[in-house]
Amino acid sequence: MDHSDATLKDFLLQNKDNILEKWFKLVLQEYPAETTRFWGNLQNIFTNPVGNSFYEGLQGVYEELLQEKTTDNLSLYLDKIIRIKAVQDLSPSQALYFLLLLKGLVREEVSVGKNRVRISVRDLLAFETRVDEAMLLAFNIYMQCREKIYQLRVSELRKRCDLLERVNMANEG
Amino acid sequence: MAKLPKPEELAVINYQPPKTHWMDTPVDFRPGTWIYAGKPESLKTVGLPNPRNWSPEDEDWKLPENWKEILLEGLRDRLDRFRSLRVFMDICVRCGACADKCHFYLGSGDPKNMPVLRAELLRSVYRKDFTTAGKILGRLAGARELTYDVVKEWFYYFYQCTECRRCSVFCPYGIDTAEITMIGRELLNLIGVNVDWVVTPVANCYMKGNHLGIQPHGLVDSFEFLQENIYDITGINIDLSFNRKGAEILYVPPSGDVFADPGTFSLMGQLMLFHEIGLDYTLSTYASEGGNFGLFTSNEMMKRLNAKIYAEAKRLGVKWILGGECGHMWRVIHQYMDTMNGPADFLEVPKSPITGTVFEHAKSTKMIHVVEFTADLIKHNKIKLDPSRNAGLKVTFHDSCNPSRAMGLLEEPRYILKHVCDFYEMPEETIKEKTFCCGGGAGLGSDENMEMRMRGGLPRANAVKYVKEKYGVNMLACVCAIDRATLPPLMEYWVPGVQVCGLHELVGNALVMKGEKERTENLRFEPLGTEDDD
Repeated sequence: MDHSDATLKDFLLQNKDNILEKWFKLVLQEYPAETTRFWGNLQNIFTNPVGNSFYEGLQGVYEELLQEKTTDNLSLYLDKIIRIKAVQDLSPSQALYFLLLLKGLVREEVSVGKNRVRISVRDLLAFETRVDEAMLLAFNIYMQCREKIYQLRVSELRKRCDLLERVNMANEG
Repeated sequence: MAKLPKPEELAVINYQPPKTHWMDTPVDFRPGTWIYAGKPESLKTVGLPNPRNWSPEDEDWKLPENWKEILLEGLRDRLDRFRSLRVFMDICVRCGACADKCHFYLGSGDPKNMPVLRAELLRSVYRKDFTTAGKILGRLAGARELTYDVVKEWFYYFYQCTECRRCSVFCPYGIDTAEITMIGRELLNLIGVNVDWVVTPVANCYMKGNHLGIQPHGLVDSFEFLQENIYDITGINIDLSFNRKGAEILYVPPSGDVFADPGTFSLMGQLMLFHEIGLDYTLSTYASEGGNFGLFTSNEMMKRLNAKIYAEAKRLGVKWILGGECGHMWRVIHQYMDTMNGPADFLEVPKSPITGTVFEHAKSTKMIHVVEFTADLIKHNKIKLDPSRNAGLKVTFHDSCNPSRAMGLLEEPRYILKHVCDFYEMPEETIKEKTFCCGGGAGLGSDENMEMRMRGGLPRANAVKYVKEKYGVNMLACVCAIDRATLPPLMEYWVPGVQVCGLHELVGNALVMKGEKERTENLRFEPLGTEDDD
């Protein structure tokens, strides 16, 4: 097997499409088979909002992780995925697992097949630390989404109480 | 020695759902995805069976002992009475055209939200007990036994369908999947399995004439409050009329608009319009509800509640009926009223007293939507509009499921919007007959169901987000009271910065009234033309 020296960043940039495609597939595989098929078809963003939003989010997160410094955009891209997962039938760990999938995938990509490259452990650890940091951010976003849902519930309840109070007052004349 | 998994294998968690057959995967009642059960008092009020305290989370639902017999007998009875149901049960070839058309499926990815599979929940039981192949071949023929778990599954999924009928638009056989949900709910009602968000409004409407339970004097007070607001904004004291015999028109708005913002603003717009054109109309304090949650209960309940509107029209001796900005009201009026309580021979075909237009399509029901009435006024140049009063608003339009798919109200609202504000259309796949539901119709708009509503409303919100980002849209107009209640939280979660309004709120803002004072505030008491700064 040929080996070549490269930085991890170069490798991830050169193999972006391939890794992204695989990551997207892994993320969809967390869902039932029929759904994986439907959501994998990215032809129309309006009739398949989840698949498209996931793909856009993953692409953005991937690119952000390769930047020297994390920007605010990372949160925006994570939000595209997490806002959806936060309202699906998923536990918090299931909702955020998609980020960890990238770590496993990158390890595999650099170590197997014809893509096999020699990269420094330091590089790999640095990348994984970036993913871990993104995970912390993801946790915040997930909590914000869940809190928003409960906030919406409370405000609906409050509105309903006000409404019933007004109806009762009106009925009492 | 047994083969031990490697550490890295252990670290991989498999999140695939259980590989059990769909028939063997029971429902998990997770909070946020179901609605509280109907209150026993409400069931008693309308004579629904098995009133009791229970919760979907409980293992024991306190069903009648012979629940299975009741359900199967109920299904047999309905198969005999409704040819449509028998056809829908038999005709589906499972082509899958409907599969990815449901907003709940698009948002959740749960295959049982595919309309074909939701219908299969009922069809499988039908096959087992009502078809020869199913009786003999059982599961091989897609048949299954009706069990306690199946009842729970029916409840879970038939209350995850908003009866919006988007899937029906794509069905090559024209199966009305919403009617399958309706029958499913009807059957569940036979054993006392229902949700409070539907049953209590039904009981209120039956006893007091509207879903909110506003009594006649309370209703008058509420309208007077809106009348005062109109005076403060325009300087004009509009007339109100209740239970007036001999009026030309009976006007029936949805009761949500009387109390709940932003519906109140839209109702004010309508009252202002009627005043301006001098319409001879009256409101009934007994049939004070355009909506009909009977539609989400059973056909008998729908008929019972719908009958009140026509009984009042007869009592008051009006010529025809004008319905407010309501959604599912029009599924009832256009598709069921005529065979339930019609034909309304004692009324006249609706004719606009202002333009002379005869609304031929309502020849039998004698009832038209206020949006078609207003569009006709604008078309004939009968009202003066100043769209600059809606300056700062960039408006898009959400086609409510029932007005668009059940009555074909597609162009009229757009025609009005183009005359009163800056209007931007959402993408073609998400509007008109292909419109996406708000996610909270058909009695699913309760707060405890919020997570499910967010899931179901995602496709609609996604399209709004697109026009927000592309054109700067900041207002979502609609013609349905349920939409006006469910879309604001949906926007807050998915597309913050977009508000929701009824269409006639924008008409009311733009309407130049004779003798009005200079307007400085819109119908929300906000300074005119400054919405951009919000």
